[in-house]
Amino acid sequence: MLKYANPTLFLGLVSRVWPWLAGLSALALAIGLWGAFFSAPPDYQQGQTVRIMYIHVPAAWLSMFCYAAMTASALGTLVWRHPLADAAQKAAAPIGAVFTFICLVTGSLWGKPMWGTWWVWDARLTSVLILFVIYLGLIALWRTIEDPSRAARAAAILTLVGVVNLPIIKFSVDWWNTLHQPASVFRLGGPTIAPSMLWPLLVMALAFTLIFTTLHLLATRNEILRRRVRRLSIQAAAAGHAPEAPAHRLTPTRVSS
Amino acid sequence: MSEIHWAFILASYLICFGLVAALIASIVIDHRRLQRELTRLGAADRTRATDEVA
Repeated sequence: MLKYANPTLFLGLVSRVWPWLAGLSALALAIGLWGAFFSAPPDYQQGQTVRIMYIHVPAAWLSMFCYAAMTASALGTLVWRHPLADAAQKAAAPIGAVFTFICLVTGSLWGKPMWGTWWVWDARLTSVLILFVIYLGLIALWRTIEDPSRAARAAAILTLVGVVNLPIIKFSVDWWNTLHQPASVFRLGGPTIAPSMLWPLLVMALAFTLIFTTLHLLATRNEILRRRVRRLSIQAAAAGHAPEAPAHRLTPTRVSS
Repeated sequence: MSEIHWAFILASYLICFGLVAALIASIVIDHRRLQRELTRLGAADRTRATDEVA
């Protein structure tokens, strides 16, 4: 693991691994979608609408998994000062925000026909909305602070503060009387879902996790390249050979004092 | 009623995979732009090194 603290080695690893991960993601997604639409039966209460669960639940799990990974990266930044930790954390935030948004929207689209409403200020829904706002706050923080090392420290601290929301999301359905149903897969007594519905759900969760891993590796690679561009821009400016203005402004081209 | 449910299901899947596709596209476009910038800056860097030697 420490070997890949070297950005060059990490870039080499990403180049070798990502095509395999992308292929595995596509395969798992194809099997999961086949299971969700052609193998799993309709629910006896929800009817066909239960098929929304096969994207809603994996997106919800992944929104929390992504934040947990960002928390590990935040510790890597603050405690071990791992050179890739803040790049990995910065790269994960937009992906986590997208999956949290998917979770909220698909939950709302499921809620309208099942509950008769798009949204309720239920503990589970509200805590996931707070998670989405934290993701947006982290993205905004990185864009606001120009010095990357200061931005990384501030984002790592905010991430560690925000991690308190993860157990609240997980146990909100047990701690409060919520409209959202309680856990039916990861619970002490074992899953309460029928195996014919459980396996497509788990395969879709695997597919989403593989998609996340692939996208995260590629986004971290972009972050490393962005830092190289920044360093070369500063060197060129310092040497008085400022290159022509790029067609699209790169985010961290300015140097803070 | 069943058609309405399928509309909600279709909307959910379209939004989900549309957003994931947009995310993939943004990462790929960003990567190409960064590679172009690196090539341009790398060329400028080599020119500077040549000037300094001269």
